[in-house]
Amino acid sequence: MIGLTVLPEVTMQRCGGNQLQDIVRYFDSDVIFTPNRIHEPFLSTELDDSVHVMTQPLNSGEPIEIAGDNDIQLVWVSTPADLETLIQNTQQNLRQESSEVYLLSDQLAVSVNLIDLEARLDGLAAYRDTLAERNAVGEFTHLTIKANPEYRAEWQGVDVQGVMPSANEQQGISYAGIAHFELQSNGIVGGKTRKLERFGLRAVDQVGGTRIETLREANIHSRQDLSMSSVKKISSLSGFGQTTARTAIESAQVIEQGEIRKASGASLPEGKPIFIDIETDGLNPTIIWLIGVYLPDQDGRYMPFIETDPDKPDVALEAFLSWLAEFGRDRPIVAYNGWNFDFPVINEHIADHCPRYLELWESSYRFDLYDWAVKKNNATLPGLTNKLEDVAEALGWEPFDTGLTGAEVARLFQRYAANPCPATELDWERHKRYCEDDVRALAHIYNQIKASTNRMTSSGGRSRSSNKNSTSQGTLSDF
Amino acid sequence: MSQNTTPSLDAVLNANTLEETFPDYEGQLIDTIADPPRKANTVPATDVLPDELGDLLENDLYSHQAEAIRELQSGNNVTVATSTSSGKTWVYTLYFCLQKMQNPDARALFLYPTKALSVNQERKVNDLFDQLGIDAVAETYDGDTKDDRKKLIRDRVDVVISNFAGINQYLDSHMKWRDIFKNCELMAIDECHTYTGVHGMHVAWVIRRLRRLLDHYGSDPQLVCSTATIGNPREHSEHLTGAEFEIIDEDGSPHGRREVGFWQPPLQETGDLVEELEEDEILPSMRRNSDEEAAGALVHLAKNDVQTLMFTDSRQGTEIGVKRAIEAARSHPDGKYIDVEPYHAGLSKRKRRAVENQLNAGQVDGVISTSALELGIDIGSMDATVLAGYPGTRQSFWQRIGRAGRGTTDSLSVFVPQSDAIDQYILNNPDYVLEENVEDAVIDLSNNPVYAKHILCAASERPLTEADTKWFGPRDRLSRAINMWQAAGQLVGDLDRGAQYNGTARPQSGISMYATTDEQYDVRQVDGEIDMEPLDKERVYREYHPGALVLYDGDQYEVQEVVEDRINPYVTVERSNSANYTQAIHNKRITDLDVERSYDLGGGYQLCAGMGTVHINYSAYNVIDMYTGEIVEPMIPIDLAPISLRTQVMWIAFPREIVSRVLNEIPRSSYLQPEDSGEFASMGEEEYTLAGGLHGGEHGMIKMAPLELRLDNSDMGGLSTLHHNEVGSPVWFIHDAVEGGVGFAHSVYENFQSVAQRTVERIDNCDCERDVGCPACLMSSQCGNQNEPLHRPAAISFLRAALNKVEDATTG
Repeated sequence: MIGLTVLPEVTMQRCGGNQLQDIVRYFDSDVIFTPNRIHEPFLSTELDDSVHVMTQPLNSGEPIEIAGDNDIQLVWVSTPADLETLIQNTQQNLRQESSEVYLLSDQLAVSVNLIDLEARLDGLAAYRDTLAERNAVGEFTHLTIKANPEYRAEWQGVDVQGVMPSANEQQGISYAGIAHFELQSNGIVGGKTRKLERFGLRAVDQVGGTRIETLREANIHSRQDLSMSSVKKISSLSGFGQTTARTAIESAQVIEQGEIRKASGASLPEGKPIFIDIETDGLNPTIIWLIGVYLPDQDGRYMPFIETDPDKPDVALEAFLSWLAEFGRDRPIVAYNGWNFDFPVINEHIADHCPRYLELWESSYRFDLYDWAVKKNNATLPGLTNKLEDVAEALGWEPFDTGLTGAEVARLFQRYAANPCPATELDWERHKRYCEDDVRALAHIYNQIKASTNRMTSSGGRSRSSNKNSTSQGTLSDF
Repeated sequence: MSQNTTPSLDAVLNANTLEETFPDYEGQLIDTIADPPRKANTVPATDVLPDELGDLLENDLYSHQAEAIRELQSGNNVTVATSTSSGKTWVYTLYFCLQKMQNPDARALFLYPTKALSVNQERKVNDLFDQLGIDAVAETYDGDTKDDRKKLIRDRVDVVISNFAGINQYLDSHMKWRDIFKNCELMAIDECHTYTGVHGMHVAWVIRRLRRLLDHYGSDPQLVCSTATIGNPREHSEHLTGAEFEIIDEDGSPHGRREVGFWQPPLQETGDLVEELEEDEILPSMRRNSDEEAAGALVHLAKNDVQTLMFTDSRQGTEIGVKRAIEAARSHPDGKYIDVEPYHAGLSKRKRRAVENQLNAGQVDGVISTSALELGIDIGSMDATVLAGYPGTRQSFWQRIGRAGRGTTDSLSVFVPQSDAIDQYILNNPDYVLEENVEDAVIDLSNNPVYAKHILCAASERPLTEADTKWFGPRDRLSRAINMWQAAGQLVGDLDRGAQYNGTARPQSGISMYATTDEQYDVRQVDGEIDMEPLDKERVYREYHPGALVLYDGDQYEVQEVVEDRINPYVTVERSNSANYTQAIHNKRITDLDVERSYDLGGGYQLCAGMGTVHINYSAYNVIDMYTGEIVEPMIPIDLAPISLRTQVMWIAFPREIVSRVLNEIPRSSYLQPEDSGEFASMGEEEYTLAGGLHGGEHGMIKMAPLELRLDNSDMGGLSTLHHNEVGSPVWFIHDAVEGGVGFAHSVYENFQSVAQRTVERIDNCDCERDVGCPACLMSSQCGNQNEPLHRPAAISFLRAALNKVEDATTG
């Protein structure tokens, strides 16, 4: 696997050394890519040799291998001629025939013309001709810095994945972001995007640009420095009051020490929870094809309600609901970020496919742990973000590494549904494991919160969690 | 203040009285038209309503109300096109009472164009339910609704009142609206004539998205549209909703005698030179500023206990108007204190509600408003209205006048023309406003940029399938849109399996209901807290560029900074205190022409319609004295990038030979000389004069277009040049002013002959008789080149040449 982290210019201009190190640690990056060469000295100084720094090369006349091993290669191509050279090399070299090659370039740019209802991939013709001449159209995954990281589409057989945050406004909201991809030997690209302000001292509650300067002047450069400071010291700095200082320090402590803090009076539901997570074919799905149920009270039983036929959107749901009607009545149904995704999606699909369960579902006790902790300020969670995987790992959870993300799962299911055949069929066991890992991680967080006796000292100001996550809610990979 | 006076021209604006009372009366009242009173045509309520309802009504129904209810009872959708305050709300409210009596679960959606109107109508609807003993409640659900009421309203309230900007957002969580969507039996769309142009296009697609979800939940409500008088009420309702309608337009409501005074601002300059001029030598520009004159009329009426509503065109106009009124009240001989307030949509809700309440209670003497008070907000009976300028359409003209004298009381209106072409035309031809053919409402459903954005929203509400061609078809168009978004990574899937949205959450937030550009700029005050609605990009560049002086709720601000390099751009303003305002100057280019339709008129004349890219650069601004209208500081540069928009254009291209023909037709003595230092300094006098003719022809047509078509000058722009790189010959362009276009320039293409004919008549007959024209024929306050050059005889020559060719082509 190659961990490719991409930082657009807008992010580089605002990124401090401390944040950069935090980013590399968080993503476990192998390669850092940013377009402008001017940042190379800064990157080399701040990072150690284990990370390969790459900027956009001038036309060097040949493809440049950025990273690689026996199974997998990442190569930069500047021109169709580079591409041709690369194909020749690959085809001559038998060793690499079975390996996965990822091409990174600026050759392919996505744009839409709303007036004529046309989308274009600029540069496709020359690029594809080169591939076609060498009979290599379906061979590679083409990463382009001229499209957003959420972008993935096939153009006449050419599989294109965007990598650059804010590359194209037409493709979504732009902000100072960082994209990270886990390029795998089976062609799966696990992509994540995070905002710059999740890293370094800025990740701390109540700390923004001005206060960072103030803290720096007081010789506080990292979250760790802040977590060990006294309220008295911090509140004496300009721009900090008692409350702000307390909140900021506590927030730094929570992140640094991987601890939970609960609000006074905060309590989790009575009763034995049912933990759930759903897998779909997208954000506004046509099918829920897997509902993973985890029951810690029954010897940690995991039940995947699954239906692999894309034309049967009712089957998995129906099976889950009939189980729930018989065994799960009156028990809290717990999901992470459930009110934003799982619960309304299930609700709508029940109304569409099995309305007789609507009353059962709507009268059930649904509990969204993310909403309860983060939005309702009942607990402060550790981790650089409040995403499920980050919080769970900060609390000591060790995930199975399936290499999947929610968005990737949905994309693979879409591909299968459009053309069900052995070549597109999903590795169902792997997906069950992926879903199982999520529900178990959720139960882990839940139980840690339940067991925690740490109290929040600061009362308000949970802005870190709610505000900073708000724009990334609603992407499948996030929770 | 007396609320019972029945003002008439005789009592208040009688010339004799005026000479004594109106300060410096100089014979401004030059014409009067009167609309005779109309008697009510009524029907006993029990003719259409069951006795238990009918007997509880205190009055009979107007004939149009009864007729509309009858049509609804036969299962039809109905459009009611009758006058202001003719009881249109009663039609759908009474019909809902009948539905409720049949089915206690019946629910309804009543949709209004503004939040202000919603609040206003909620009261009216509930009062009628109470009066009739109907067990039903109406409640408003919009951006102002408290969180703890929301679920209750969605689940329980019989009639949900809202607006389309809200519906656009709420459709995202339609499951929460399941009960009302399932039981919805009636949908009322009030003041539907307001949904035109760009805004109308958005509303039309929101209505289709809504009807699609209603259909999904198993309901197919009857539709009631209400509209002010427009030329095409049936067609408009059908375009707007996609359903079929019966029309009710025989108005059974009464009104009193209406008088409209045509009030010509007096000469500004005095002295021998002016006094020696003959009547036909006086230019409109020599007269006093019409906004100032209108404010004077308002003040005079108010001082005579006549509560008056004055309409003006812009938000800034209402604010400047109030300043001028205060000034006029000070110099008025009657020392009585009067209270005048501004009203426009940029003001905070609190402020607007306060003014509405003051009007209702008779606590304010005068209000200066934009079109915001043209709609049916219940502000009680006004005694009089003053129109500062012609609002652009007969429909709007009468709607504004209809604000005075509700019921059978007589009413008075004063029309004060601006100095520009249309207003002068109306002043000289008052019969024009009495003509029968009121303008059409235009919605261009073929506009792809707007369509495509709503397709994204629809796909996020429910995956799009074959069945949805019913709402968003034809199939080919829908699948092209889906393919485009799929290739762009915004949709996944297809019509067979369901195309679902795949972009960042809530594409509905990307819909700006009032323009096609999405970006909204917040306004922040650096030295305080300003409570102001966000602005769109064009308004920012035009009115809120750095250095701009703007009035807001009576206070003046100077724009400090426009901050754009972020997701939520904003403008910062700081309180200021000067007697000036600013006006930006722009220049423009048109490139990348794409011809869609063309008409070869022969001999090198070509009429074309298609797409083009318009680049508008707000490059400088003038600082102008608020009271005198004089330029205090000219041409201060603005440092903002040009705005580019791809939009619909039409153009007429002339052959190169036109040059000698025009020069032969006009006297050599009339040739214009460019200024030595200006941007045209390099031109010779022939070239400069020809450029003035083209420029004049373009201006004239844009200014006259609203007289033929329902459109607003400000929705269009133009450009003329002796040599255009892509056209290769002399040409003038007329283009739409929003991304993608809304069909305005293309309707000028379709109606070229009639618009050009009216334009040439107007220019040729203009009293100014000046070669450079005047504001009544060629000059425009919207011009980016400060009305230079303009040449009237050359413009006439160009227009005649074009018209001859059109006539030859159509008869030959």
